[in-house]
Amino acid sequence: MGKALRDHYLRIDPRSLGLFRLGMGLVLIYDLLRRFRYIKEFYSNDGVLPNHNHLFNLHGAQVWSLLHAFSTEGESTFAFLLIFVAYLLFALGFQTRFFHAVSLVALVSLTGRNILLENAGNYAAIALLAFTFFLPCGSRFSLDAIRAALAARDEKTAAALNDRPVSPDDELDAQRLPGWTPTSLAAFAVLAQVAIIYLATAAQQKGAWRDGTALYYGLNVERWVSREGAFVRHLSPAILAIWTRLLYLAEWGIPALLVVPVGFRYTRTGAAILSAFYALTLGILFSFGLYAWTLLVASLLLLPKEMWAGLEGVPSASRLRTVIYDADCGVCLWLSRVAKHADLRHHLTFQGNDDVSELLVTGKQGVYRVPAPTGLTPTVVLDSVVVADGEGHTFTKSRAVSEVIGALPLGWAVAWIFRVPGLSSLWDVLYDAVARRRQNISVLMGKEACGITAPHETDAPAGAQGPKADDEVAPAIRTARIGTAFVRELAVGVVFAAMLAQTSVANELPYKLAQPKWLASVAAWPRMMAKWDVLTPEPPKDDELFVIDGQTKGGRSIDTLTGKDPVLDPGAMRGAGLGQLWGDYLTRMHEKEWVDFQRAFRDYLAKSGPAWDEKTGDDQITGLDAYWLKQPIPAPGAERDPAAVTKEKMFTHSRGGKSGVNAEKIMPLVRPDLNLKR
Amino acid sequence: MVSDPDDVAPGERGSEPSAPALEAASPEAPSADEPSPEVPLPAAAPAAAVKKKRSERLRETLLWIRDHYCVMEPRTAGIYRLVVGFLCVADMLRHWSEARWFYSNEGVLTNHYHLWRPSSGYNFSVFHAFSSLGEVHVIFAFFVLCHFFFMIGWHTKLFSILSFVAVTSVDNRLVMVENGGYVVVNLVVAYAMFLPTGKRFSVDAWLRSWRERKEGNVAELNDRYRPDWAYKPYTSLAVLLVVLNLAVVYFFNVVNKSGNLWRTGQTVHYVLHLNRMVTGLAVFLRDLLPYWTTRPMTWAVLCTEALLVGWILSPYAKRITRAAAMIGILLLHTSFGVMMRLGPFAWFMIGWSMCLISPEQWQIAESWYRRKAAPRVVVYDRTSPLAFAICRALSRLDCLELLRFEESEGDSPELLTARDEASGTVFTGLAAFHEICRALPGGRWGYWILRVLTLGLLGALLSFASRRRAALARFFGLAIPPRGREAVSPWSPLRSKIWTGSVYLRETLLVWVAICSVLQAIAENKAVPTRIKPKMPAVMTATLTYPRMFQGWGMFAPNPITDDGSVSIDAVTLEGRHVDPFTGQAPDLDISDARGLGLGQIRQDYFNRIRLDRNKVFRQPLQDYLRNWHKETGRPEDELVAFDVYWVRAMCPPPGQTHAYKNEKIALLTYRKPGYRPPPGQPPLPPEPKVESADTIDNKATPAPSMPLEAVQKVLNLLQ
Repeated sequence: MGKALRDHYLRIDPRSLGLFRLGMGLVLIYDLLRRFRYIKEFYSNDGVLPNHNHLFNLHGAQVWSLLHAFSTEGESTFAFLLIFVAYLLFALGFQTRFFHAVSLVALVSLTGRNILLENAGNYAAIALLAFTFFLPCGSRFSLDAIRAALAARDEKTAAALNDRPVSPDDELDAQRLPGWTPTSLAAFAVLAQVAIIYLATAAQQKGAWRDGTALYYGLNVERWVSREGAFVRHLSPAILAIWTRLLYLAEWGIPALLVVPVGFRYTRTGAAILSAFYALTLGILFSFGLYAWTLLVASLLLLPKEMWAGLEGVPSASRLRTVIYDADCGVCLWLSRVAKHADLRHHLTFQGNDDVSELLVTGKQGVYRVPAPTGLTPTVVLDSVVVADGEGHTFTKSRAVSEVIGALPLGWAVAWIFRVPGLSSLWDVLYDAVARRRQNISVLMGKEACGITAPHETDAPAGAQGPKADDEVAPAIRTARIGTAFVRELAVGVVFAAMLAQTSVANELPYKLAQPKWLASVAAWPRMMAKWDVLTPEPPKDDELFVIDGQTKGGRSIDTLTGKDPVLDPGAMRGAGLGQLWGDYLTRMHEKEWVDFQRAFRDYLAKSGPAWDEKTGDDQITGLDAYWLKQPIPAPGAERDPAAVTKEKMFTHSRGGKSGVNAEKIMPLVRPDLNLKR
Repeated sequence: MVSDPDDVAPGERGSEPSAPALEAASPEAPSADEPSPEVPLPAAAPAAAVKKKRSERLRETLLWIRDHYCVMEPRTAGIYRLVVGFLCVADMLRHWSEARWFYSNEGVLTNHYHLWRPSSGYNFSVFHAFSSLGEVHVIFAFFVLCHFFFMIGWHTKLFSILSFVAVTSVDNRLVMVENGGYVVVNLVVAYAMFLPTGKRFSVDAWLRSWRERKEGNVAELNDRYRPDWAYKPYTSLAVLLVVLNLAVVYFFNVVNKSGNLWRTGQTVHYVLHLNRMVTGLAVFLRDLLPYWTTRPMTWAVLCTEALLVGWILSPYAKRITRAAAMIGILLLHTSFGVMMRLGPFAWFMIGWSMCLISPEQWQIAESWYRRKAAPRVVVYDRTSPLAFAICRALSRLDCLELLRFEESEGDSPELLTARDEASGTVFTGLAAFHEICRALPGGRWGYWILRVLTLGLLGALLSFASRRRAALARFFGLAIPPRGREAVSPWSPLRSKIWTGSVYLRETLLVWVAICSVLQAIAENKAVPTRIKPKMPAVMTATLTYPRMFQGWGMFAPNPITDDGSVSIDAVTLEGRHVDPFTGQAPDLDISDARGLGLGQIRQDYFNRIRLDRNKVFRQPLQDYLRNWHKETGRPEDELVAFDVYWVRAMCPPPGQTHAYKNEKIALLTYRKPGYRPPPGQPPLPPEPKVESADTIDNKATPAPSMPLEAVQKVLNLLQ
């Protein structure tokens, strides 16, 4: 029981961690590409917040970003490219721990460079990346894992390829490098972090969440609703009310399921499903940046060991395939080895093409021989890899490649590319070109081109040797491991305590924990602000919009945010959301707390806007007014009232906008003080 | 960590490409397929033959350059790394000591201000991302670690790149204090990235050799492992550049020193009287040395610098010329370094000279040490894996192969013993260890260093290891033969091709840097006629300005400075005290009686540059710093209610004299706290002086008190 509890609370399955790493890497890449569009606007000195202005206005706040060192658009683009490489290598699991750390630093830097863009998504992603850093995220589904597996077992024959001993966890643990055991306080911290995000959010929600209108109101806020959300908001209020309640239930249910100390297989799976449902809803219907997608990949961390046990090594009969590869070709053997190590469910059985009188297949009783299907002839296997399924069909060339990929985990996402009519012929041509040169490619890769020293099939499978004396871990290594583990657990403990204290301080919760300065700093520097305020306490009942009323030298009226005529009616601007980055930025511009940052924004607007690049001639901006518009969202079923729009003028630049021109307050074309300075 | 492409033995790579840039420029040698006499030559044949001859000559020339200038011993690169890495650590610690004043937002130039008003175009510094003093301490600690790892050669390539980022970042954060020394640091570390600095004398090399060769018995111990990657000379354009650039430094230093003070031999005199720059030793010497002795010293400096160019570049007699160059550089720069506060210049030039060590010098060093050292037989306990592991380590350290290993006959009471084969004397315990160390290169000094590091407990430690050898072997997992397989995997042709491609890329980058540097040298040095100075394209300027790898060389050129000066602040605190916040003492507005100001290079250069009109813009953060000075002292009563920042200057004493003259103070910045009135009993605030330019000095207004101009003219005439 004690071991089960330990495994439940202090351990996350390496496969869950591996899948999380892959998902998180993709989410980070998505986030970076999203920001790539706005490098100039948000990350360069030509944008809304030059680095010097940001640093100056921080007034010594505990914010740090490496991107502050990058000034021009070109420099920032270079930095973004470096970050992209780091994210990609993290996702692929190459030198995982190193690139995990680099990715964490990169995300903190992206967040800290412009804190007007941050939201709960950044806090969640940083917290999860920080806690999982202490866990072996690269030990499964990674290039590191494949490289290690290839180095550990040098399979030379089909028999060796078909031999898949599973080492027990204890044995694997004993051989892990210092600091790599999956049993750690970090695992508990990860689970607690996921639970706390939901719990803190739910605890702060009221009003519309209780009466079931939260989703309706949330979807009617233009600055964050997505295109899909704009479509869904037209659904019947009753459906939206049910959906709202399901979301609310999920928020309470996930922490509860994570705490329950029994029925691990079901509670964890249930929590993962609820979390995925919640995250997908928010991700598809809203533009909350990283928030929803981070929660989605966090769901993968909840997948229990028991679920994996039901998958790994348990093939689905319909996906069983036998791969007949060129036994004399080094690169073919190497590819088979890679496929074997990626084949989580053991769908693939390997067979050399030197003897195709029978077909090797895998069943409950292990690998056995059956009569060869009719399509499997000695001639066919000389020209192409052949894949045979359980129904006697054989596939060659690109279709065979497609079958192999399709048998691997998530392979269906790629396999279809090889089957697209028309495209498949092109793949066949490519396949033939490669197949013709396979001996040369083998030589190029340092593989044996032919005559691979093949032990007789009946020999003991190569690489099947158990742990040797060499694999024993020396006491010095064990001591080092204990030392590093102690340091690691201490670090996790401090970060976890900082997260708990910060959560209690940053959210409207009934209990507040003491937060000494140093603990606040531990949370603040990496921007783990733990403010879980998405749609809390309830979605706003007003639709708010930032509008620029600018005029050009040529006398045209323009909203530089949209590139269209200024529209001072939120009802008429529906569906014109600028995305999470601009949405959060403009909302903060309106708040008094951020007034110091307005000056840089005004300087930026005087030159350009996201939809109005620095223009010259008649298109040059000569003045503008900035407005914050507010319009009540009608109750479900009611109509918007265009007359209820309130207009708050935030600032004026130079001559102001055309529609806001007041005859008595016309400003000069060029400010005299500016003229003097020049 | 990041894997190193050098992790596999080049010996197994087939043929490692050498200097492809050069070879690319020189097509393959024509085969000996000269036309047969029977075959009549076509009409164009003579022209083709001439062309062929030309190309052959070009090829020969390029090959000659390659053989004479593009080849470096891995040992040389290793020593270069050790020395440069050590200097980088020391220099970073020097900057770290000024973290508050110059690199944090509590100092005289905040990061946001510098980003707002960058000192130059193409300015990038990692330090700009670090604001508070705490943050700055973190980045300094990180960079010190990077330099340290570079020095010891752990993940050498990665840390050489990070070291380069570190040195250029330090420079770019405070360009105002940059001098030639900073540029030298940037160049020296930049070249290190392209040299095989981790192949010898490094942790990387040690670990790699440990992985690749797992000796299992005494015969294998005595058969030394000499892999290609550690011994094969390295060929690259980088080697040419690192040597050529060193010569260029001296060349322009000589030709730019065209002023009459150099020619008349007065430079050393003036330099020794620059109180803001000199050390205590220089003050002592200037009092001691009569004027006439400083003149030959001036000329000696010029001559040495001129000779160094030839010595460095000489393709022949390297055994002598390179040694002469290194000794010359060592003497010249040591004298600079101990007498002047020039920052990293002198020491890094000595570090740079390490690239001049040629195979001939290694041979000399080897034969000298071989004569000093005595061969020893190391007898180890055949049953002890600990003893065997120690012998494996010794066999790697024993580059001169003066040790021979033997197994003990049976169980030995001693872990290791040493025997002198000539006399048959057997040494045990600490004495054995001493004897073994003496046979290792540098071991005779290393032994004593170890004794100091172990606080004299070396003997006790060895005795403990001997007694507990079995337990220690178990603890560290040692075995005979060692565990694991030898990690030598041959390079596939594909990997070799990728490697070749990366070598081509590297050489192409070096060619680009070389072109930029040549143009930069032409554009930047005063000695080059203006009419041939090129206008550099922006991309070239960016290539050299981001890393600040400039090529303008002219220390004290064309003439040394003859006026001394420093910044003094006359500040009034809330309690009426006059104080100079930079010293914490009462302001000293007269430097004519100074005997060295005791300022470090960073401070003295900051003072010297902040006075310049072009740096007026940086006086605002200085003012902000002074207004917040009481926060630094932690005493509210230290708040400055008024301050005047002065450039205090005086003319250096003329030759033959010892007293500076014409002391004056020029206000650079003034401040009076708005609305402040001194409380009763305190004197009123001094009137605000007029802020003026301190850029130039008007020598005509007040001539030197003695040494009439005619006398100078006479000396000049005599010399000419």
